[in-house]
Amino acid sequence: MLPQELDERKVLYEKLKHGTTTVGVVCTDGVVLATDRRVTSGTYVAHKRGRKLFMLDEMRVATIAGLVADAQMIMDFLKSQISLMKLTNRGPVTTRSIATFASNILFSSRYYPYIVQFIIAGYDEKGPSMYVLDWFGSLTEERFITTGSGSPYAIGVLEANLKKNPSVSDALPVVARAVRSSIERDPGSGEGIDIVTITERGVTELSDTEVAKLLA
Amino acid sequence: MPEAQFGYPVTGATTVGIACKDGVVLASEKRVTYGFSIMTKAGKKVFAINNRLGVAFAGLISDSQAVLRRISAETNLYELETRKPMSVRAMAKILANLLYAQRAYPVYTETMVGGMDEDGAKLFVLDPLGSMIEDRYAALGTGGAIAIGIVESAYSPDMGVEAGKDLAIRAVRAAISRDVASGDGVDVLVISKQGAIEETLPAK
Repeated sequence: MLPQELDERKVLYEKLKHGTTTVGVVCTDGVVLATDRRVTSGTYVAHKRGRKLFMLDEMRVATIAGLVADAQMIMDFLKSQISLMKLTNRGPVTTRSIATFASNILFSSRYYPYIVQFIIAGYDEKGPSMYVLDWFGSLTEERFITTGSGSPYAIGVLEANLKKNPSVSDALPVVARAVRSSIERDPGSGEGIDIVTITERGVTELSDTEVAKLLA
Repeated sequence: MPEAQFGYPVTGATTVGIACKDGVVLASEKRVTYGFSIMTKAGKKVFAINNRLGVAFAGLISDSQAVLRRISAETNLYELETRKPMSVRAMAKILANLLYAQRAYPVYTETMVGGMDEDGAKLFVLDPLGSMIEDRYAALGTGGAIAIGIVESAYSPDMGVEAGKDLAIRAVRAAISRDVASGDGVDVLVISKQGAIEETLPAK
């Protein structure tokens, strides 16, 4: 389970970078997020259909990587708190404030960290945006990002093929190929690709056939 | 699951769960070990909570039984208070919350929740910290990696609960033959429209 000494924890953080690929790209008209489906426990494939994309509200989606229990609990809490924020403010809540809230949750446990890494992306009154958080709560805004053990393979595909200021339809095939490349070369990633797009019309999850078409 | 990392001998196990078209099967073996000696050959690791819901555990027996007592009580309380049957997902979520509450001193057991509700047959797998992942089939414990091979080679999404039961039993028996910490018999729980039916079979 969770080791007690700091050195062992450091090793665990390194090891837990393994076992996922997540990709996010901010476009002119929305955001594209994609993940693989493999859930590993060491070298064992524990689940072949894990869900790493989590819908926070109708316009915001997060990707999760790391310790599944921590990630799921934080996401559930965040989702309920977002509803509460909207009621309290009597109005919409920006993607940035959701990401900041998540950052505060993570930092509040700075000395007994939640072992998670999130991408929080959405479409709000300011347009499309995407934020990346590490397990201590560091928050950065990004135009494109990959996380997880498959991230080096995926980022290469993005760097080589993503044009400047892409539209969602420009970015979709590149994102799909990025995750596929990780699956090919990273043992920690596999089993298939999940893709969502977030536009002013809301969140859409692509079907398996639509994803297959992108890779053709 | 890491073995004996905490300085005391821990028990192995194999539990298998299969969600079929018309029901759920949960199966396990019956060996309880303490280091390299067998404490009992009559261990119970699969439990019917009521006639639609069941749980199965792999890991430390004391933690499993403590979790079982709490989740049975919570399920009964929920059904009495809300006057509605508990959905499989709701029970799994309550269990996940109980487990996560102990994140700083976790239970040493992996759990499977299976049952039937208005959405049909469902199976959830929970790790010691309370993560919840839904699946159509799973195998947990020290013999899990052996059992899952059997299940995967013969599983089909439209298999019925009778075929699922045979498959689960074969999978547990395969694990018994190749995992020293598993053995001494097979317990099966079948949850279908007929209710929850438990059965015990020999190891071979």
